[in-house]
Amino acid sequence: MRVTPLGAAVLAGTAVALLVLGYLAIYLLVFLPRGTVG
Amino acid sequence: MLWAVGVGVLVAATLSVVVFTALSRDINPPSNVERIDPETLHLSGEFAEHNLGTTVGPDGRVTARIIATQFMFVPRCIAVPSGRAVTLRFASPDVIHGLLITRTNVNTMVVPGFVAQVHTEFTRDEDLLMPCHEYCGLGHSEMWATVQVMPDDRFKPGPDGRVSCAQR
Repeated sequence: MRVTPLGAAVLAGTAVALLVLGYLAIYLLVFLPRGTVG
Repeated sequence: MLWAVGVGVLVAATLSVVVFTALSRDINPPSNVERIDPETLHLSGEFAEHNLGTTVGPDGRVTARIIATQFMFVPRCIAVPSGRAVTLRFASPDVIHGLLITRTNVNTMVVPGFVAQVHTEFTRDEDLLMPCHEYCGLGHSEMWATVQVMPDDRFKPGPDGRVSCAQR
């Protein structure tokens, strides 16, 4: 893995970025508005 | 090395969100550890039949006590006020149950031998579904209750401090 093909890095980066965006969207738009619990 | 750093950043970011949420918004996993004898909990004490449902204490604290049993919640409707702190307390006399309240973050398991406790605040006046979400036997799919969230001016405790669901 010393030399990463650019395409693989872009593919992996895009996939992870989409995952993180989805996570943040659920967190901000669904989880937080549902209110406090503990 | 670069990949490890990337993964480390993502893990740190995720953990930061969890810690930030806990500290700033007071959102935590329910973590009450309190023992109760499942064989006798219905005979006397906190989870005896006359204590079940919603009560308002002398200090204004709202507490709902619910038994999760095969295959129903007792009581089947729980009245709570909106915009006030509410404590939900659950116990099981038989097997492991679980519950969530739709459109809220309330979500816990009810393990026999322990009291499951959740502090929350309901924000909208509506009827919410509270199904059992831990497979508990053949009648599991029929096990659900209603949480009736009332505006604070309609949430009037009786002389004994108890509040029941309004008939509709």
